[in-house]
Amino acid sequence: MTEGSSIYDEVSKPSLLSSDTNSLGGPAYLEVGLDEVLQHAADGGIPQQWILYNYEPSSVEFYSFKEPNVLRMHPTAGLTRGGTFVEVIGTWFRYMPEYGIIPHCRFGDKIVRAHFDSSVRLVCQSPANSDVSAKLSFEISMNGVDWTSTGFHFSYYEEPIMTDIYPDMGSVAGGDEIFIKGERFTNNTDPNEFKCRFTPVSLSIPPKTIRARFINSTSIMCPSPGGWSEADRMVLQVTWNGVDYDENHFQYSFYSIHNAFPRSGPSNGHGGDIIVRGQGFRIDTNPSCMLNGTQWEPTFVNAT
Amino acid sequence: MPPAQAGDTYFGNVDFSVTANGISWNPFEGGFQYYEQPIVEDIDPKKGPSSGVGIINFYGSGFRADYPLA
Repeated sequence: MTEGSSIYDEVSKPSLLSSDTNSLGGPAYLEVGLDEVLQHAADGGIPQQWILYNYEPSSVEFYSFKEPNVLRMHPTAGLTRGGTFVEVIGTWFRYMPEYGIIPHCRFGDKIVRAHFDSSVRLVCQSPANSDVSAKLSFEISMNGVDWTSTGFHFSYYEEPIMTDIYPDMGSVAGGDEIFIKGERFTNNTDPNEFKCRFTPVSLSIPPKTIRARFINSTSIMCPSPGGWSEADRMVLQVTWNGVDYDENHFQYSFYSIHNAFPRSGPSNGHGGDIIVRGQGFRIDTNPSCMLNGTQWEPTFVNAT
Repeated sequence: MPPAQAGDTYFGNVDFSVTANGISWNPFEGGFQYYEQPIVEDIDPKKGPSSGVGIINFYGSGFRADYPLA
């Protein structure tokens, strides 16, 4: 070997493990030193190069981890006051505080710590944000430094004010339109998560949810769901993001009409009362009968 | 029971529906049937055994057999 000129170079390698995409990560001690690059310009030949690795061990421990992957987040919108629990589903989530591996979420430019539920599920509480116009990028980090873009976005909306529902009673068969009046209604959230929930007060059955319809900033509509075994009062709540339901606890009641008796009578009207039987009747909701196009007020009303 | 708009001698069916909330109307199939008020002028016999066996005949006007709605 002919000894030629030597060239020295200095290389910084913060994490050799990061270049190995197949690595699952793990702890390692740092070694600090220089890569000494020796180049030999051979006469008339191809230049040759040798690298001398001069590293000293240290007591500094470094933990490398695989970059996390986010498959789903829910919800994708929250109230401006913050506090919405956002579920993040993915892979390679870690929590090792002894190495500084503490998962975080970033909503636009605001960072919050994530609750580590498992290696495939994180939960973050959205921070407060008054910007209701933007769809903010949503990122996560396992160490608060290196951020992974998720491809998902998060938007904010002001807390809606609900003042009234009309009507507050409908058929147990469902299909009635319930209009809710108020302020600050938005259509800036995922339409699939804009829902109404009907929770029975007495019946021991789960609540039913149904998609709501946005009309304008002061009016929305909920179609009443059917499929109830019997009439009951309901707590009607609305969510714009599928998670945060309003706390107004408006009451909506279902009624059912079973039969009427008698169904015939003398033309002179001397046949006594026609009794309409059912469930959930209320005197305050203007129940009435119509015979041959003429409306008649009931002589009495009770729940059945 | 409201009287028939067509008068005391009207016989026939009219629309009959009910609302519980003042908005949605629930029609009854077949509606409501009016008939002329039957008048009973006499019955025979006017007395019989307490066992309930026997036939009592009613005499009068306005009797019909076509009341499908009861």
